[in-house]
Amino acid sequence: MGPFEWSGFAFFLVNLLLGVGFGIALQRSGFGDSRRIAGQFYLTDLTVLKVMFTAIVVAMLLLLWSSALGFLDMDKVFIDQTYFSSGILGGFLLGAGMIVGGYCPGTSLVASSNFKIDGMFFIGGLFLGIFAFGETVPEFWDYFQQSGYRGTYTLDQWLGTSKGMTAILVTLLALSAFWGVSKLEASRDPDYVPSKAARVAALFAILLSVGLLLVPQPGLDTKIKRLDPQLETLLTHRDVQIDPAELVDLMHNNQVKLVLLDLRPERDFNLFHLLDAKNVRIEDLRGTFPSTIDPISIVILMSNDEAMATKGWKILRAKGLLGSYILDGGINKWLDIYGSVADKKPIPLPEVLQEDVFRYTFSAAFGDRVNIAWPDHHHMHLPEREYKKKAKSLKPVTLSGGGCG
Amino acid sequence: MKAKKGNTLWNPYVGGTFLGVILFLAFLLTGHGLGASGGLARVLGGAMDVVAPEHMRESPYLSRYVDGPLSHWIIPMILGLVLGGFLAGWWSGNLKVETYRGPHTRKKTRWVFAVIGGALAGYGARLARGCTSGQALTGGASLSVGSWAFMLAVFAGGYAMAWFVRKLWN
Repeated sequence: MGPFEWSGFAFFLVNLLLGVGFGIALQRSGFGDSRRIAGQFYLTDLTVLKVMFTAIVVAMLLLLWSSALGFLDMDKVFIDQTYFSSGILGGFLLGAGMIVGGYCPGTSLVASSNFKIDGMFFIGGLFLGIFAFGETVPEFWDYFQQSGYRGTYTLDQWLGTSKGMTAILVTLLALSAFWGVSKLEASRDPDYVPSKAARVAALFAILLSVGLLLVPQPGLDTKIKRLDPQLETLLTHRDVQIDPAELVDLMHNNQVKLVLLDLRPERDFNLFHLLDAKNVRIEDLRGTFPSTIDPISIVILMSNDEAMATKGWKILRAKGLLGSYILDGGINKWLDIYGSVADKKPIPLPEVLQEDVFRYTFSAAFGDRVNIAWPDHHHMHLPEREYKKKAKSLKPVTLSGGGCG
Repeated sequence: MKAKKGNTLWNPYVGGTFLGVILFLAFLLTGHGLGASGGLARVLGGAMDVVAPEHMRESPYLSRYVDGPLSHWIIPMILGLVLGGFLAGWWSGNLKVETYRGPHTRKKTRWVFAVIGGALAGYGARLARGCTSGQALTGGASLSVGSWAFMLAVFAGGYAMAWFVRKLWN
């Protein structure tokens, strides 16, 4: 199952051959000629739009079909991270550069390979621009790092629908653009003959996209199973169980987006829960609820001990929420540690042998109206605890992974 | 375009399908898509490391290109891109030293604007963390919201500037 690992000469050769195919496609589509690219922006030549959208739809359908049929693991495929603000600003500059200079980076390389002088000057300009960026980016480093960062954020998440439905919408969007273009071309050219082959191809694309609804993408359980060895390693090394003292510090850290999910039965939740914790069921986590969580959040799952929280954690990880953690020892351990400074005392219950059962009760259902629902060093004498910091902020660590790297 | 024999371009929908298959193969075989501008950044980084190594290592942005800039997949890819473009140009008899320009534009004017446009595009591509290849095509096919926003912005930027440089092309 793809994608594959390559090394040494094979690594070089595979990427070289993909580049060769890319170069042939661009040259044979006429993108080695700046006039053709500029024509897109005066609507005199719409090749750019046709080629780009066809390529996107074809690649999208092939990707989703091979993922549905199980020979491509979409979780290992690079998806450009979303940075709204810098992406839009940079895109605008790139578009302006395209009409002023006549190329984009890839097409200028193709033009230069055909000895076109304007392409070579464009490459010279590219080096200047890249150099200028490297020299100026320290001035706005924080902006560049954050700039509307949304992590891996895909159209189906945005629309709140399935990949198949999204594929249908994208296909229809592209086909309507092509239809509009053909009307424009027909109005200019009296000899324009609508192509039968194009209609057949369009119908085929629609069928392929609709077919995706019948062959769904690998489900959650397949993903969890696939990830399980990796997740079990994290669990046994206790890399993802957050010490209560670390959570106290996170609760007071306004730099992080903290989401607290409490998986206990409603009765236990009503007796006592952490401030701002949300009472959810495992079924909620399997459903659409996680898509409402900002992917850069630090999510802490908790149950009375750890069993249910661990189960929920696996689901969130499989859904791509990499900032998910488990509260070490659950609410029971929380009360073991902080119960002594509580204004409303937790009452220990006789020893229970079952796991994930509440070992305390309260004289009433206080919910978060207990001071240790939000322990505060300034107003309470909290027991000192040493802990190993485990929660990592999901602000981008690397600038960009694949793509244009 | 002149419809010289051998120089007839592919139908855009055929070219687009071929490009889409290559893009898919890139995902299937390597897990990453296509790319171009990042390769030029690495070539520049490699060159600067020879000329001004200390300056490179101090910069938060450039320092990531210091260690083995040439071992990245994008280097063989842009070599292939140039080779593929050359081969296709050779087959179609397009290998000729010339400057593509508008009917009323002098060569030198076109060159100056090519440098300016290249600089804008280079700056923009780095800011957006990718260009038409690595963002629009690659992210477009993998349905990244940011890449679709980027793509719309590219078209917006092009159409916004088109009026100002209309004499260059028409």
